[in-house]
Amino acid sequence: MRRLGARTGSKIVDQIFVAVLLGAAIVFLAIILGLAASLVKGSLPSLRTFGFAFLWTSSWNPVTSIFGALPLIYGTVISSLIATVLAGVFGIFAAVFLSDFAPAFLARPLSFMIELLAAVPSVVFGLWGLFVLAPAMRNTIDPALQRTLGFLPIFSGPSYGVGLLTAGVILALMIIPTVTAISRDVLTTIPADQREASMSLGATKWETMMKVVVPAARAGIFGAIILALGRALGETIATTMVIGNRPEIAVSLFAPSYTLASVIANEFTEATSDIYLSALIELGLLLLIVSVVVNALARILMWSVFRGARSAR
Amino acid sequence: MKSYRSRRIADAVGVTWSFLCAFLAAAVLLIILGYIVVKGAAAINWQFLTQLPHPVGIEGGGVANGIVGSIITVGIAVLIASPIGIMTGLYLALFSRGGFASTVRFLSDVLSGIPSITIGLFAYALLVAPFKHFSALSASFAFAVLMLPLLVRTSEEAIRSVPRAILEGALALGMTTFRSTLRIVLPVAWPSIVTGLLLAIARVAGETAPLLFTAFGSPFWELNPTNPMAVLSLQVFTYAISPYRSQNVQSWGAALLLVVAVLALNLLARVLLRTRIRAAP
Amino acid sequence: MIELATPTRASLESRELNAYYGDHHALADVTLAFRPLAVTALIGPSGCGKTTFLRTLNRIHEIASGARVTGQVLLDEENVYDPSVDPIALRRRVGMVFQRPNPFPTLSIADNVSSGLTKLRGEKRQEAVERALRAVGLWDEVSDRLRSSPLALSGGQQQRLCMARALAVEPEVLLMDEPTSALDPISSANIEELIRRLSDRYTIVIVTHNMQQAARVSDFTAFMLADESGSGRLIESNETNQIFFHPQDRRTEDYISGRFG
Repeated sequence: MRRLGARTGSKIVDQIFVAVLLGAAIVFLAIILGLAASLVKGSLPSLRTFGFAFLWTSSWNPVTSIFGALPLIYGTVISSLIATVLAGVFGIFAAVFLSDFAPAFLARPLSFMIELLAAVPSVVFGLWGLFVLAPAMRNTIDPALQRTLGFLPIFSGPSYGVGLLTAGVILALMIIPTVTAISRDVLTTIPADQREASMSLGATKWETMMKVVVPAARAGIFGAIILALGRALGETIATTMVIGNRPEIAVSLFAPSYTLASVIANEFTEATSDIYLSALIELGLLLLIVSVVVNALARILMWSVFRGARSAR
Repeated sequence: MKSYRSRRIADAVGVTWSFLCAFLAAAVLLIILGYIVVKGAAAINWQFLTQLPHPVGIEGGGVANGIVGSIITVGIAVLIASPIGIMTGLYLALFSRGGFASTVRFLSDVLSGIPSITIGLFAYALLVAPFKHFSALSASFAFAVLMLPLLVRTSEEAIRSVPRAILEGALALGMTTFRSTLRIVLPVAWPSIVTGLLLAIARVAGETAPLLFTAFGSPFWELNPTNPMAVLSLQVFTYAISPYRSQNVQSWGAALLLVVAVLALNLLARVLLRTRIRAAP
Repeated sequence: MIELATPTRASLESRELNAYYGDHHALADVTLAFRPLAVTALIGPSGCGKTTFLRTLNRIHEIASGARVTGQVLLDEENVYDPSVDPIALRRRVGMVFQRPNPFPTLSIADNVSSGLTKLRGEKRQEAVERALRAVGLWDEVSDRLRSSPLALSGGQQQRLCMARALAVEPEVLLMDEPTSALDPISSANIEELIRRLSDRYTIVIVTHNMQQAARVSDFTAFMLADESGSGRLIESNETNQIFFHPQDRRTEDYISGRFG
């Protein structure tokens, strides 16, 4: 018994080691839970005062201390949807090109550049959007849309450059790398034999992609788009710089609008009353809940594809 | 069945269209970088890099305090986040049994999708509100929370990618788990962990939203992290939305500095990863 | 060989040993005594539990998640699964060599060999490195590049380095899990010769899927086989000659003569 039990010092070393690592994991967990708890706590006064009406009343008025988030929800959802549609259309086809059509000498640099685009800070997108994109929207793109599609109410009215559509475009540029990179990864997990089977039946490359490969990867691509949507919903600084910051619901996409995140960014340090502050924190809580739901959905979708690919191997 | 000819045309159009999409997405990077470089370079000079901001409306001045502030806030964030992140990653990789580990992993994924502005609100509630003044430290905390999910994930994957036989080999020699991990496993995983750390730094270095109500900004030389502090990304924002043209110009200059730093970190991370892959047996 | 520590006759045996991976009962009721200072080969088809059995002997089995063991392993009459036992103390007396060479990639050749030495410093440490490398016949090949990476060595050299690393700790028992399966025939022959030479110093247990190898290197052979539920069981153990020429059990005979599933 003596010889093997003698070196108990090493046992203690390992127990301390595990305890320290576990401690770090618990701290990490506490930070995440603390984040949620602090937002809930900060929102309580607002939740008590406005209840669920907070979500569907449309007056955001610090002067009268009446806060309804509907215009902000509208601005957040519409700008993100514009972004998601644009980024979806371009991003998926970009992914198709990179995964299947591109020769290596093109695929690598293009992938590299698109991935670097994801690294560009959002304040830089905002700066560019404010001084380059917004004037271009006001002087060229919006008038052109008005001339051709002006019969649609969403393309009516004056353009200020900053507004929902400009915010949507900037957000689209920011989330294209997410859509493209993940969709490309999903597409490459689709086994080669499916492509070969289709090609051997005489289908062209394009038909193979559109009828076989993309449908097989659709859950994962959808997941990528949802994930990108989540990014757009929570994006703050770039949106704040180009959306116009006006809490109103207008039909026209040229009109200025506001988002949940932008309101927090603009008004938090100026909030004078406790209820104002609490209403802003409740916006943050709303953002937190939406982003958790959206991300969970996206991960479930992508997980199903990647797991399927692994078990097929 | 459509004719062979029309199918061939559809094929050509489809491939060309998807090429255009990829090309345009990549071109966005070049266009934005082009603007930043051209407009930013015009703003950058020695004074810009070494001086404090001038009072509003007075030409000249620089962003030196913001550069230093960025280094300080990000540096403290690294000091907070890396021990927690790397040790949590180690825990998940080495002792991940049962529900606790999968809970941590799931919540880490959730955290990585949470908008940075809400993390700023958390930092405000925790470190600004109780002390009644803004501080660089609260910004560092927000940055650390932003870095954590990335660090946890990359550390866990880095440790897991070390062949299990290496750990077993060390344990079989009668090394403690502690020694096996620190002396044998961690050195193998280190390049990947550092890569993750660099990417996390690059991610927060450009982050602006949580700074609005944590670091807050400052026109002074401020080296004390318990006080409000200027940060480069915040200067880009405030100068951009300023009504003064001279500040708008400085915003481009600050943006160029930021972009160069962030892209350099990304490239460094890639190079590091590539040398690691090449060095692997 | 004289430089190595004087052999100690460590007795090693298992009693009613069962091992599990989660719900899977991998090893059932194995009772086997290993002859000190001899080579015992564990043979049997894949999935017969021979590697699991080997890994229970130095308690490396238990580091996999969901792994557990019941029964006893006695080292010098002491149950290594007793709660008071420190597995680290056990592993310093029962060394192990793995199926694939697993040198520590970030350590130099010399540091690999000395990596298990916690107490020795300076010259003593260097001497221990040289002694272990000489014991596996690697000294002359690597003495001029002790500071370089082990990854530049050939597979056979790497495996001998791993053996030197295990021997440097001066264990009494050496466990080897198919140590030549990843090697070319010449390197394999080197390792086999080495095992023979080491057998007068160490109690050696070797898992092998190669029956000729078992016949060449071992004094005793134990044949294992999985039952219907997939649990590995010990079928028969005896002197190697007896197992190969006069197997008592029909299943052993079938396996030895290649008439197996």
